[in-house]
Amino acid sequence: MFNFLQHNKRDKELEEEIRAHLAIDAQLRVDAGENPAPARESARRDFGNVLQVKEATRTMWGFGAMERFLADLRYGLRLLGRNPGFTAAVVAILALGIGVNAAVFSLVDAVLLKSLPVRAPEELVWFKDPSFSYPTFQGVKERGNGIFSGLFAWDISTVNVEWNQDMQIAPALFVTGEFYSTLGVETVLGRPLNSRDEGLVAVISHDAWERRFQRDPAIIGKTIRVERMQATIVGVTPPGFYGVAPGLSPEITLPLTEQPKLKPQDADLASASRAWLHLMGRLKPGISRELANAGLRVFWPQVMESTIDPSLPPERRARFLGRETELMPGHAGYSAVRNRFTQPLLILGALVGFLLLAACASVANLLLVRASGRRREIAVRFALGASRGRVVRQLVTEGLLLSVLGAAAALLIGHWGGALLADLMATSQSPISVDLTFDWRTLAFTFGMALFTTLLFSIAPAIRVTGVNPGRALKEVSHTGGHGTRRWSLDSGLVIAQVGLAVILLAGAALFARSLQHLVSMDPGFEPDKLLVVAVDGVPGRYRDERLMAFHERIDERLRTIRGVESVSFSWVPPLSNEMGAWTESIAVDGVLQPSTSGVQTYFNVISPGYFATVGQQFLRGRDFGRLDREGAVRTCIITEATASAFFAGQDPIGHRISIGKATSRQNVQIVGVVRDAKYQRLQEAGRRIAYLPYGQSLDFANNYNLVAEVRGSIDTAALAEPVRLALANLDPELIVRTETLVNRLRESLVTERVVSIVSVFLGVAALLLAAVGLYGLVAYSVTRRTSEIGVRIALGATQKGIVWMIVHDSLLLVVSGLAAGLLAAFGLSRFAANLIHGISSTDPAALSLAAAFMLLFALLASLLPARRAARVDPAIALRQES
Amino acid sequence: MAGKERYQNRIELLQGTLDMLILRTLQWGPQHGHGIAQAIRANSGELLQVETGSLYPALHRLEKQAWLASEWGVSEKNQKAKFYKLTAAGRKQLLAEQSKWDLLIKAIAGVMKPAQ
Repeated sequence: MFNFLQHNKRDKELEEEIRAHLAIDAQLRVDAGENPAPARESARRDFGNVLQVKEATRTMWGFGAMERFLADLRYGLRLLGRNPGFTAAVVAILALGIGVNAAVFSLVDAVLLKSLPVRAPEELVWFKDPSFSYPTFQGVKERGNGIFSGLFAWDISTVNVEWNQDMQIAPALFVTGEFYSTLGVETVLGRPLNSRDEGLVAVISHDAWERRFQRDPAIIGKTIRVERMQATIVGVTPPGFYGVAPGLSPEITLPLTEQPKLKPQDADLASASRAWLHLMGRLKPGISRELANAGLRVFWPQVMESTIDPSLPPERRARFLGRETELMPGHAGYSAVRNRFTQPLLILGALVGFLLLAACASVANLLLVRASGRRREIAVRFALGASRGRVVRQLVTEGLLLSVLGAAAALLIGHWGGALLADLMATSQSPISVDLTFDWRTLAFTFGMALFTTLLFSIAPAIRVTGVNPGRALKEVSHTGGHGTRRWSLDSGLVIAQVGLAVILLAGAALFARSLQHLVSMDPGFEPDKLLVVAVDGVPGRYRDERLMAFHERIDERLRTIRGVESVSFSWVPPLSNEMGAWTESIAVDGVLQPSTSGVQTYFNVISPGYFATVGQQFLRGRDFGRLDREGAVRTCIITEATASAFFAGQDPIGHRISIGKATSRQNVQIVGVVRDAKYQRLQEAGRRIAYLPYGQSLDFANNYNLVAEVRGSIDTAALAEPVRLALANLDPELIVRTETLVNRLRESLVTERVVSIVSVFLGVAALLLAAVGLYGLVAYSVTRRTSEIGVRIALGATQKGIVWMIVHDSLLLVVSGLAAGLLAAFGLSRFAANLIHGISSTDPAALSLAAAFMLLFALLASLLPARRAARVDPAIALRQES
Repeated sequence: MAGKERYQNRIELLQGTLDMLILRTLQWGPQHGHGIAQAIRANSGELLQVETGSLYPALHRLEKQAWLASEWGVSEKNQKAKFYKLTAAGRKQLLAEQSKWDLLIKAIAGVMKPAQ
């Protein structure tokens, strides 16, 4: 741009110079006695044509590289404006190709790359999982002074908050006092939490301040109720700060030391075996992560040694002491979302990358066709003395222009698509509120993509087209017969590439869609329709033992009176526990811990009588729990088929005893029934072994944990939610109730698979259409060039069928080579997505053939249309064209 | 790249000689466009009338060749004007043109007046 501005300046100077010339001339005339007005007039007349002088002078300046580029640009713009259809098609294809990449990249950027909005984020490190206990945190803090300038522990969970009047579940961050000082985050209002805090104080997020309090400036000092306890608001965090876990957006931050009071089942500050915390620290200046890791390795064993629970049996003791950790770069924070989405995002990234390549191939094809039409123009330019480099530069500039236009449109697609993807991936339990505003990285990525695509799609055609001999090209102009073999080969290569890429994307789409279909149609082992899950919080601590049992009975009676409710049951986790987690233990049969089964975990749930009937899980043998399965009676359990066959191959398990866990305090339980297998946590899991305990015999458990109720309706469950909530509020207004249909839980457990298959189907169809259009263009072009040849063939007696076959045969050769290459690539690549493919092999023959069949069908259509047109050629007309 | 285009003393007599005349005129010190035209006319006994349409392109061309340098100044009548002056390269070029011109004169004279 520098040169361009320079030109403007020179223009002004030239004008001034001429004005000075005129003024001097006029002055001389005045001095010689003329009147000023006629003097000016004759000076101007003597000077001659000012415009012409200027123009002649300007040409002396010559053109710098930038001027030439601008001239190319202007020329390119004119050319594009003259072919609006072509321009629109190319820009649309590029916008699609670059746009889907920008969309996925904006998500990758937000979830995986973006640094936390804190002071010097590159100094932050997080301790590699698994999670840690509070004593471990203290141990590291005591010994890590030499490494860390700050260290904190945190946990994210949900709490019930009464903001003003309404009670709501809100994501909450529990942090130790060093959290804000270590991160270097200040509050926009009030003060951050610190180590001197006592009692329940809270810092709220900027979002919460806006949403819940309409930016009330007098918010500091107000109290809200958190889990029915008074909490004082002391600060508001800056906008854009969501803690250290991108993707999760806590509305409220509370002192970790208060967590045991608020969530007794989650937190225990004294226990060394209760590991629920994440650790993060800031390295001292000058200490590298390698150095810090070396230091940590020195004192880590001491930390573990000093925090071990002395009552642990030796085997678990060794396991506890053997736990290791490592410091990971923490500039982007610690992200559960990241862990959940890394693989799907990488797969989506690969898929959109393939689409971009396909888009490039198809644009290159369009440019080639057009460039062939421009052979004459280019030949004229050569004849007039343009160098080859000069002409290539012109063509590449035009390509760049198209790319930039495409990239600008792509930014819109990217922004909109990124938000859509984030929406699709969010679930009610883990909403993703990633900061999707475009930053320089996304902009740079998008325009970098544009440059890259320009190179890809415009250089090859440019070099090919400029490789013409001007003399021959000029002579060739009116000549339509015969086709250069080179042209055929580059075009064919592009079409093969397009077909191959389309097949890869179609294969991906077919695999993911079939896998999703498998999951959706899978029998989960229970009846999800018309089943409502009711999470009831606020029971532990207020009802115990006999009163608790009685209270559950009252809930049961009350809910049954609602019209449309068929049955009610209680359990610790509902079917598809999902985010509620799992309880696993190893078990021993008849007092013998079988070596073959040790180390294999069995999943446990605590249920009320009637649970199986309510959720629709089939009973196979034995009996259900009853009112008699309570404290004091023989301890009982029910197991699933998979558990039965794992431990009692062939035998009837009923009557056998199993012991749970290794703690000696555990009593043996007797198996009284066998039920069908069911999914425990999510649909994708492989057959897990499950055992169920009666909650009448697990009162110590029920006293401490909230239970969920399952409500089986005879009508639409969504309509039951409100009456259920009302009924429970009537029973005890302090209860906190959330309802969710099991159908929704099912849907949300498949969210990743659904997003990947939606996107891959979209991309597959897009690539298929691009390839079909490309093939159509190629065949149509070759038919036009071969019109006279076809005319001769028809005149010599070729049948229409024969002509159609000849043309289709040629194009099918290309398609089949593309198909083979694509299938081979898909075959090799699909194993990288194996984690996301369920129920079928990652090289499922049905899916791959489906992809191939689709491609073949469209290719056939795309070549049949022009072929049929060719076959209808009138030989008389065709032959006349020849002359 | 345009800057590297070699200056060619075209066969067109006028252009080549105009460049030489300009360089020669500026040998006596900086001058503005109007002054240069005046000086050429006066020194040629009013025979050579320099068109502005040739003068200004020539000035700018010579400046681009770095034989001239320019700066804004004030004329004897206290008017703002752009003054051109010879650069070291311009001086060298003038010498070259001068000797070429002398050679040409000699050659042409030899052809036109063989008797002498």
